[in-house]
Amino acid sequence: MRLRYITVFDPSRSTNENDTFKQLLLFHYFGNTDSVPSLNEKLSTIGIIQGIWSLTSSDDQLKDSEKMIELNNDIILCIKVESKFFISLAISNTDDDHGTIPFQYFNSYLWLSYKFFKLLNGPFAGFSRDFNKLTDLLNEFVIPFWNDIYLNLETVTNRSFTVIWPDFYKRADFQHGTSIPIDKNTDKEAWDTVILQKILLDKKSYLGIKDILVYHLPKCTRAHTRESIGTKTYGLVRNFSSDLNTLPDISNWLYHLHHTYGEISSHILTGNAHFKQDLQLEEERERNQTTDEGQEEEIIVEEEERQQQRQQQQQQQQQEASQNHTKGLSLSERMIRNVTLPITFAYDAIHEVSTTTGVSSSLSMIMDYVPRPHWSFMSSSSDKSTSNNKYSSNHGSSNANTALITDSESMGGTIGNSRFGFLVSPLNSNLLPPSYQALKLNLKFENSKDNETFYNCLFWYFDDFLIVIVCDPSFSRVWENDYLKDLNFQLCQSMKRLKSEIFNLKDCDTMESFGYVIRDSITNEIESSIPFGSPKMSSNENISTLQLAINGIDQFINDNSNSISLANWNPITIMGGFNTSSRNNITQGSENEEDDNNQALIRRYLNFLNLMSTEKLWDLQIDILQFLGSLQNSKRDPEYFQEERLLKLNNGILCYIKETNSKLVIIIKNWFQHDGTTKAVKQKHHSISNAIQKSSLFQSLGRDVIDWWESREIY
Amino acid sequence: MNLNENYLDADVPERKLKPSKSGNFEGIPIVAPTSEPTTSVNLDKTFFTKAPLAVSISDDRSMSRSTSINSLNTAYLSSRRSPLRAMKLQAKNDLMSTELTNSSGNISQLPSVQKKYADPYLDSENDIRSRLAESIYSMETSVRGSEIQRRPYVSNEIPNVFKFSKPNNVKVPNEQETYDKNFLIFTSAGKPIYCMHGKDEKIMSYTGLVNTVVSYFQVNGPSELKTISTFASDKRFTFLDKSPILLMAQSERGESSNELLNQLDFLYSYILSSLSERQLVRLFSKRENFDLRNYLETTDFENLDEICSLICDRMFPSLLLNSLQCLPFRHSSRLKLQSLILQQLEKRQDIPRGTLLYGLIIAPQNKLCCVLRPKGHTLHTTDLHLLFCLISHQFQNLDETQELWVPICFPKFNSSGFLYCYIKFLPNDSNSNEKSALVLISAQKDAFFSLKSFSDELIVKLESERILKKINASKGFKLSDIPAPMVHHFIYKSKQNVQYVMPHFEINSNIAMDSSQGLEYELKLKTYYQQLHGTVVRDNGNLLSRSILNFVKWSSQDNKDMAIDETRMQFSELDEYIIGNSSFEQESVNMLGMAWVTPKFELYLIGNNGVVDKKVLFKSARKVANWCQKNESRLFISEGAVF
Repeated sequence: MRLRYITVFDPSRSTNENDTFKQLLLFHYFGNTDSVPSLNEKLSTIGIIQGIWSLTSSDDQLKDSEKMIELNNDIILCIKVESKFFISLAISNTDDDHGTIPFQYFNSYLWLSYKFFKLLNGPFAGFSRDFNKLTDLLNEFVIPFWNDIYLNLETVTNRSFTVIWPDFYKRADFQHGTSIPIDKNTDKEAWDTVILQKILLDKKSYLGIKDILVYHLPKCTRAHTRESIGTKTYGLVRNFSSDLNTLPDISNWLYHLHHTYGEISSHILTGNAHFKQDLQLEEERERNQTTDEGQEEEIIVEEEERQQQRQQQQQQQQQEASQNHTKGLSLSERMIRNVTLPITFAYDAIHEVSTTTGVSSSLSMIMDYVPRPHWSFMSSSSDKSTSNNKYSSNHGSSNANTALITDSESMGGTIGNSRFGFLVSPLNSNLLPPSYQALKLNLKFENSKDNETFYNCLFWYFDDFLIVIVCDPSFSRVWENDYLKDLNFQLCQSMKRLKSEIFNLKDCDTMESFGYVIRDSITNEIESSIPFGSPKMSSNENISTLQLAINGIDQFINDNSNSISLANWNPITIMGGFNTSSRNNITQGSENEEDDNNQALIRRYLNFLNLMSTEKLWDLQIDILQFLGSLQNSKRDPEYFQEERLLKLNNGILCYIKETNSKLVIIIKNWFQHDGTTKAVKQKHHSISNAIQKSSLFQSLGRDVIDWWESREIY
Repeated sequence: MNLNENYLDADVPERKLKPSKSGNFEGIPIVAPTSEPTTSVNLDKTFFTKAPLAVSISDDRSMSRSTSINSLNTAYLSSRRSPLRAMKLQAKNDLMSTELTNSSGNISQLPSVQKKYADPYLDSENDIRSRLAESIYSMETSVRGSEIQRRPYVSNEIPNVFKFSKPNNVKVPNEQETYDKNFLIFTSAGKPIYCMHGKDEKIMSYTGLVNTVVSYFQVNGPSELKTISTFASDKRFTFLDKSPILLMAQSERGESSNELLNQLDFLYSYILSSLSERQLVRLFSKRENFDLRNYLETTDFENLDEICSLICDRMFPSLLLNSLQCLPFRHSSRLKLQSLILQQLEKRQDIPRGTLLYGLIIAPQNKLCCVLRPKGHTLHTTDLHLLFCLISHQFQNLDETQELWVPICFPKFNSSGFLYCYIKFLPNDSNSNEKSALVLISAQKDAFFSLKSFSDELIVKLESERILKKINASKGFKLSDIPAPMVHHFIYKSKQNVQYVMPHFEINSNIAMDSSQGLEYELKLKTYYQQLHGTVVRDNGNLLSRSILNFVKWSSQDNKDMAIDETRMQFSELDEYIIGNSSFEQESVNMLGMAWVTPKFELYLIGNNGVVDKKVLFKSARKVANWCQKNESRLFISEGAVF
């Protein structure tokens, strides 16, 4: 499967036959097309799409917003936004059938690409006076967005099939098994009370901060690693205003970034990191190099032309030093490495600076920021011992001092095992583009006077928690360092509580015997415990040449003269906590031996699907999509009737699907492991009046599902 | 809301109205139209349109989860099954009736407020009685005028949960957009050949446009346009390019593009059966803009109409399941029939080998009764479907003294040549119009007389051996023949034989199958099966997995999910009065269907409304499957007469 082209056009801009080219806002062919299609071909393509659109449209024009044209080998997806703009994507199936991704994924991403554009730049119609600007912005956003997908098709599939609903967003669910969330401690304030009372309702920021969105974005690890946490906990934990209409968009945008690049960092948030493919360079190198020194990847850093040459020299030195170690790395590791590589530059730079100026705190800080396993290429290299020594000594100090350690300048730091700090905030250096200080996002609050406005958004993290602080554009306090310091402190307090709350929940380390997805049409929320991840989709091996390029970062690395800016420079901050397993290695032999045993295998909030291989899981998802497709084809009158299905396949899948006009519930079990508990259920639940539990189809899912559902309802 | 509407199909939201009042119990006839134990008892629409919230009375969980109407069904049914339980229920009912007979049936006297807020559970005990009684009393108020046909109070119909309720042919004339399905056949030059709906002048421009789109992709691809789908309105356009002919299906009925492609292929096969591919290519090779309409006969268009209506509106599972329907026939008789035919063939040494290719006896309603075939050769189901369609439609007016010799191209057998069919209807003593047909197929143009004499002798022989009588007497089977309770209807397909069986339709005796109500029922049943089938196949038409068990339940929305806009429904004052003063509530819908696929068979089964326990249904499904497997030799033709 490969993407062919994406186009955005507005037919209303053409008034006669001579200016049809005005319709075209964007037309991009993916990959290296041998012959660039002429304008005429492009116009005929959008012409036929329009023709098909109007030919097959019903009277109710408003209802029709997406169409799919299936050809022999190609699929053309088309959506209509803002009642006059068309966005169309063509995908072609390659000959080999393996790795065919259902069209629903692409269709959803077509919508997401529009929604993300709108989130960052405002609606298309807002550019009615200056369409050239719109084209520029589309070039800046839509093409890199789709190019990342073109280079790595897993981008669209790696968040499980729940991405096929672009209007819905995933919520974190910390309820597990039949456990009922622990009672809120009466003597201690709950984590959300802290945010509500001390930040949102505080007189300093009252009404200035419109909303705070708390996300839990753990890294998607598989069950076989030492530490893994179920995907049910992935997503929005909560937000504090009830009228943020763009919540699905901003949530999906963050999830997309997190999964596309594997991490969330300042560069990724500000849109400065993208995949690059440089086949020519690769080929050249292959020709030049002997077999044992295959160059697999390199970093290309885009920046102003005057710096480029100097840049590349430095890179090549770096590559030569590390090329042996990158060889066996997996894709994700490679990506991480690409993200962290600039840090190694920074480390070198700061090391130099610190020896001369004595800014040691920033050095330790940076070392803390770097997740241990991503330094694997370092560990085998010659400076392994020094690196490890530094690391362990550093941790020793942070361990001993459990009090809050903050760097006065960067507002980042550690507390216990946790890392925290701002990713995007006015604390970032002024030398960086303005988006590093506050990201402007086009949000809509239902009750606000304005329809849609750009709000200043700050991003703050605490281990795997990401917090988005939505500030009113007129709220000026947010630019004051003291205020941010205070904010930092309060958020820390709150997150500390949240973390202990959710990870000390009893039963959260048990394995659920079922997976579920619940989609709520009223709140637009999805709750899902289907594991993320998908097998490799691209049949060709060009992923090995994939690089993550970060725009403009290097002026800092190369700008050694500006030591002050380096000291408070933290756009390299990458979200995420310490990796516990690596920590254990370091502290082995010390006083933490007991902990070791406890932490040997940490699995939380998992279910039986986590144990499946990615390939099997992908097959399962394809099957579920098939079920959903046939549910979509259902001709029942949705206003009055609901539909339930219970499917049992001979490969062990037991799938329950229920669709009412507000909810879609999918529960997946393996009926091979299904015990005959249903009989007991029958007697015990005789008096239950809940509609779903009355259903005999639901009851046959067994005791555990019913208990889970019950406790869910109580919750 | 019009209470005169059939409750089964009315788009009436579930509304809780007042709890019931009383009525005279003694006057209620609880009569099932059929005495079959497997039919559920549903009351007539006027009875159900509005009824109070019901409470179950049965202790059996399998039955008690439905509302009282369903409990009524089950109570009634259980009374027929378990005398003990029936007695218990009877005792309960007796208690109720004594209370009920004391209260009066005056509707308007009770204050409506009290009724509205009264706990429905309070008088749950007398629910059934009172509502039964009320159905009688409210008849006069709800049935305004006498224009509608009175129906029996009890029926075994199933509710319609689907968005469309009218068959296509009931559409209002001059309203082009009322149909939800259309077929279009046109030439590669854009000239229309046939369309199911729509006037010529409109179609002409439309085919032109479609043709442009299709050829755009042929030129700029080169690629073939397969499907255009609009998700929000569930519209799907599927194209089949059989140059020089293009076919297009347009459907809003939730059929997958593969299903539509099969239907288009069937239509194309018909055209080939009439013309043969060789002739078609020859016609268009001379002139690309040849107008095929002038070449086709009127009967061709009639047949196309018939096939389209069969595909769209009639219960025609043959195409969906890609298999043949068989006439259930005693195994020994079938063996005897086959041996008779073979004996007859052996006697006729003057018919050279190869003259007679296939022989078929086709019972009414296109049920295959017997097949004579050479070893190692079978006819494709599509070819047989086409033949059956022709016999049941085009040739049905033949009487038994007439015989036909027609060239038919069997496209899957050989799309470029014709086979010759000798068709003769078998004599039927009974006065029924339905006649079985004998079809002898030959590849030789001049074999008529030898086949005629063969047929004459065979018919004489069949009559003398009383086989013919048995064929004419064989009427299939009823659901009641199978000890499977709670089943409304089923289709059982034997995968090995590529044949399926289904019981007779059993709806109210006074609804003719040809009436609009009968057609409505067929369409409804067809849709249920189409949906059930859709749940177990992939987009490409393959089954999801080797064996599948799938239950599908359609039910009224949970109360909390009911987002009904009350103002949307327009009630007249009189309606309001009637609704406000009667205690009707729409019967709650609880339809449970299942699709069961194993390596041996496929079973599609629809339960009676109100059956909520899948175990009850599955138990019955097991019985159905066992019964079918036990009677396999009777239900299916395994080998046929092979020579």
